[in-house]
Amino acid sequence: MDEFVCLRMIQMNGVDLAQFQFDFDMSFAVFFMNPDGAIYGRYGTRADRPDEADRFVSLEGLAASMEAALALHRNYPGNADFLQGKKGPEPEYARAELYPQLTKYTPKINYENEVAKSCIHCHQIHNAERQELRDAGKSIPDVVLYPYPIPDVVGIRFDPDTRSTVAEVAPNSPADLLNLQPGDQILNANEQPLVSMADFQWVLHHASPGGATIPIKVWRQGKVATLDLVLEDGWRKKTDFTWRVSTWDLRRMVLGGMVLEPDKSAPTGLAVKGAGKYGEHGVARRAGVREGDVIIEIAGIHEPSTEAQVIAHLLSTTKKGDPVAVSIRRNGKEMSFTFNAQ
Amino acid sequence: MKTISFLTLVLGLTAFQAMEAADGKKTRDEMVIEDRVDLKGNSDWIYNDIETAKDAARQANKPLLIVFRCIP
Repeated sequence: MDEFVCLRMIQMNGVDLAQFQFDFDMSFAVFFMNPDGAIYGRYGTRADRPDEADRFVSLEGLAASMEAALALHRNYPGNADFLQGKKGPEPEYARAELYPQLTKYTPKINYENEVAKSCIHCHQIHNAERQELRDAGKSIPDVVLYPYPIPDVVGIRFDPDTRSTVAEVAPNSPADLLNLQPGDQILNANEQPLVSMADFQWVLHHASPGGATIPIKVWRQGKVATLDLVLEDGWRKKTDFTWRVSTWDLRRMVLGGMVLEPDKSAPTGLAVKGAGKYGEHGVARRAGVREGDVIIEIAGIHEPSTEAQVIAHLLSTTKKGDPVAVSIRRNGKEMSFTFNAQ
Repeated sequence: MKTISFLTLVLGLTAFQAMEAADGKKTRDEMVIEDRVDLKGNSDWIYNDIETAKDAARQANKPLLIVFRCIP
């Protein structure tokens, strides 16, 4: 820690979004960077549920990433060209409070009054980005709906105690097809040095949803091997986004505030886990839906599906105000309700 | 040890404060303000000020470690 200047940021108000681009659904994210703005790497990965946090982060893993960042700093600026890909494209809005949905916020937190309410939380940027598209009647592109895919989507599970060493490779996955092996350390991807699995996610995040080939270099048994990771069309859709805080707002948009959970007895494979009560989060409840309802059909979907698939389908097939039909079974009775997408 | 104290600071403290909030002892605003007081009194950390951190890093010729961590 003594070898870094440490900064704690608690807000997104006033933050330069050209400089600080990361998975905004994270509640803990780390940047390693040069004061001139060059980014050495990111740290922090999350997916699924909080009780799975140990799969992605650890003290040992953080320490390994810090060591890797220090090594990059020692070689800077000689390695500057290799770091350029770690900065993203110019954002549509330079700061979060410039999004039309966030203009009520100011560049600084108001410590004198309503401290927490004056804070722009990270996930609100995802929400604002999607709401702007929705308000304009546009569909939400895959890169926005499935941001920062976890490496599982290409069949890689990293050892969380390391910087970027492969722990497991899923059979018949893209990683398996290129013969990636447990114990391989991924040194760089798309010509960017990796200090963490979050850096690998960064590379995936910028890969085309329609398919891509990502060159990677791995350290295996004392030698460097160069491999091509091939992503097929639609690869992003294999990731689950329902763990994300920002999914709450997607449920408001197209599920009338319902939270769906797996239910093997349902034709759709889904049941209603929860239904909001207030405002636009209570739309489905006011239409008649209740917790425990087994979903027979929703928006024309009657085959086994996941909540993410249903949300993605509705986002691409509805606009604000369109009707969403849902048929359910409750205590042996079948019922149908309709509510409007938001 | 330094790394452990870092996580204790960033993760442990927040979790502890969240438990206190659940007991109704402190409002969220109070926790945020206390968090700021704690961090501002800590010489190892710069609180919520990117430009000050950049200046310090330039002067010390050190890289920045920037933690985005939601308010308590």
